[in-house]
Amino acid sequence: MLFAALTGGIAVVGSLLSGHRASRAREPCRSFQPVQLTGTLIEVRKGELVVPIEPAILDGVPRFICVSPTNLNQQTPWVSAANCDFPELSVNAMLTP
Amino acid sequence: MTIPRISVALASIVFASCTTDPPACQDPPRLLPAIGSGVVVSGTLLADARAQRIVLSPDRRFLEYTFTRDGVATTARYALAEAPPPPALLFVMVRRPPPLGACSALVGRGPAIDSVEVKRGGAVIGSGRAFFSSARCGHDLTAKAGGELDGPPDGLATALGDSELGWTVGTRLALVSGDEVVVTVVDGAGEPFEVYASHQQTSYDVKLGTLTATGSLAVP
Repeated sequence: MLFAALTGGIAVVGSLLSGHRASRAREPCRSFQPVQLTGTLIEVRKGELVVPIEPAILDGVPRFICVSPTNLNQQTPWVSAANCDFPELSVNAMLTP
Repeated sequence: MTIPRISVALASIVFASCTTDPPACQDPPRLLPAIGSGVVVSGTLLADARAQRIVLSPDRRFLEYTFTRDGVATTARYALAEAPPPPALLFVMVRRPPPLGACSALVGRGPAIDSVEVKRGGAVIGSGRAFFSSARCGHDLTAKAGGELDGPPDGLATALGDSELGWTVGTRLALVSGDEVVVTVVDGAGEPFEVYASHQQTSYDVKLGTLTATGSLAVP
């Protein structure tokens, strides 16, 4: 009886531990931690003339933009910029230093 | 004697399985957006934008987005930070204060709402489409509510009754601090109702206040 209880208990602990290990093994370590930057509109210029921000926002210029690397697995010159409030409005650009 | 030996052996196996775990993941290096300047290859940040360019400063503190629309070149300059953006308040919501009575007791009860408008700097910037924001009394969640509730005040109203209602602020418009939400009520029954600004069509996130008749409330 005692033997059965002991072996049963150890088996359960063993299976839990091996299961935990298996789940960890299925999750590879991440290569990078992508960083998203939030841009807050601080100035609008039409040509060389600085104009009020609020009318520009009402005219469609995003108040906040969310900027992130396009490729989340390696450093590339591609960036994505999206309207944080309406993410369906977004652009991709390739930047050169 | 046999039982302890077997137990020790099994425990050793379990211990061995523990110690062969893969090493814990290290903190991965941060992958920041690229810097420099370049033309936009795909997409638009606002309707009808042409000749779009982006310049991201070497210190990643500023981004400039340049576009042409109707022949005018416009540059929007942004200050960048790692903080997440504030959640957008896209909806105005109206409901009765709790506790709510039985649905059958609420049918037809006021206030009779004509419109909900949003003002910024004194000018109306939105008077959107109304929808049901709760399915509590059998309404179709987010389905269009009575047409009398849409648009600017026109003297045509719908009783709040057993429903909870929401309005879109406007086409791709979000509420910001200082905006004014104006609710126009037709009847004078004095029934209280709560007004909220919300992120989603079914949430009540920022309480703007309680009204009993036509009135305006400021977004904090």
